[in-house]
Amino acid sequence: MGYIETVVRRDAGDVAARLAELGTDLDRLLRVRDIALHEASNATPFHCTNAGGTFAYQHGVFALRQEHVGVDGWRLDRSENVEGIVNDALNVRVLFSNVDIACNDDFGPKPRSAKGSGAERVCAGNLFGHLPEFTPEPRDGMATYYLMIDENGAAELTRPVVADRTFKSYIERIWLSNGLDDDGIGAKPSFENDDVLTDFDPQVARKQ
Amino acid sequence: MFNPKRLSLARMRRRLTGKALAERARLAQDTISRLERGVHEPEDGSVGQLADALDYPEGFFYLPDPADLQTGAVSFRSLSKMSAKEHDAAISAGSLGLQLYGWIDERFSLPQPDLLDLSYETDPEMAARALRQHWGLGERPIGNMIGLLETRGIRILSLAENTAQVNAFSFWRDDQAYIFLNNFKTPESSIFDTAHELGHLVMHRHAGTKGDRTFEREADSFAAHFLMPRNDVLSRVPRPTTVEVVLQAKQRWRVSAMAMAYQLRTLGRVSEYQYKSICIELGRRGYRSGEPLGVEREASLIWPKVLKQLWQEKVTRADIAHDLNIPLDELQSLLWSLTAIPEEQACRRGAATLSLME
Repeated sequence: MGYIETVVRRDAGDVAARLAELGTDLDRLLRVRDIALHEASNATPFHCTNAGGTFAYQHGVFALRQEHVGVDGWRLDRSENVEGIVNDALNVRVLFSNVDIACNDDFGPKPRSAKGSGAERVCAGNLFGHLPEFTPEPRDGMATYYLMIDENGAAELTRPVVADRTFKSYIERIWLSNGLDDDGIGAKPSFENDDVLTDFDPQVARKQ
Repeated sequence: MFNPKRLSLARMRRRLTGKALAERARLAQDTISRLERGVHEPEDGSVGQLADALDYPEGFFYLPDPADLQTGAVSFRSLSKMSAKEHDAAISAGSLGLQLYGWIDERFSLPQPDLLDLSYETDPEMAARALRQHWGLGERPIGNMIGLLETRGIRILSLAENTAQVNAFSFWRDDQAYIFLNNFKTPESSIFDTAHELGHLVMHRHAGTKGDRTFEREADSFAAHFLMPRNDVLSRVPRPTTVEVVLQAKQRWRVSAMAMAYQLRTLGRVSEYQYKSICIELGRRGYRSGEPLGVEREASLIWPKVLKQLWQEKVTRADIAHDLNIPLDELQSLLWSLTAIPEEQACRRGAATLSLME
């Protein structure tokens, strides 16, 4: 088996076209991201330490299915106890994962919790060593992608190789968003009140 | 001459049945019924008994016919929760309010209505935008809805505690627009009610039957878009739109947290799913039944000016009530939540911009 170079798609047109080939689109995937991040933010100091990640994962999977199942040939899938969606016609599976950092050239995204053996099996081969730039050619079969989301809202749809309970290398990375700041929606609210209209003065005159 | 309609009005204001009034006034129930139908004149002393029982001045019952508000022309908020008694009491308050404004009109020149007739507009968001443009408000948030509406010639009065189930109502009368507000609710709810009634005034002026659910939904939608304009909201509310974001956002647009969340759903900033989740969390934090850390209650800008001028002329609220032949408590009810401070204080605070007409 040979090795291939990781394909990284950053260009918006390239991304949109590839997502269409994969039976999805940017809006849907970013809605999934929004819901996951929204739910993560409901964690308070009284919750368990890992509550944010748990909420994001649970609701990220929910949203992924809500956006896709029953549309364009997608169905719910939990093969090997790995929760996600499958498109049989396209031979594509999509799973959800919180990652440490997404859409970064210097670092490949790593899952924030260890991947189990089921994830290894549903992803492409695991017989090869650490190869940050080149990765084994995938076996024939279903292509498994992860919607990977980091805490800043950066997101990518990536086909990784899972080994040693983590993402070892990547066959294809499709960059969806560099984070909330880059979506034209600042992560910080903008609720200054200096433009509020308060200066009203109804004119009342005494009649003689 | 004794006016049967005045008796009905006073009885409805006091939310009494004919039977209850008869018992209070120590008169036969049939007598009350006959008096109200105008089939016979009251006997000596019975008007005094009725006045005592209703706590209305005797002179009230000899005034000309009260303004007859066509109930179909009045837009009520929360109509479904209202009993007939509450409905009648509110309509009667409307009549007294018209009487009060008639008295004021003789003495003061007030802003004239500057509203658009948007009855042709089927999209409440477009109607809200058109009115904002007409008033030159742009997309900016409104810091005082009552002040804005008064400046644009809408006449506003408050509703008393005995119509607590009625949120608000509005109507046109002789080309003047009136809104009655119940300020027992949170300030945010009252602000929304004010905008809702504004929606009725501009969108449903010629509508035959008010209280229709479609009209109510349109007025709600108008209010939401008038208070929280799409472009301003979408350009300021960040993603992810968490409960914390909603709670910050509501301060800017001065609406309830629930109304803010609903508008964010309407504008597509949060999904149906997120909206549900936000509502659950808001409920946990007490925002379903109240508005913790709410905004300050709005007050009238016109009434303090009028009352201040009258005070300087040594005319008190009691004098106004006496002139109108209505009980002082009824006058206070019409004004109290709009001034919400004692008379002397209100007069001291009245703006000094009142001028004399040539």
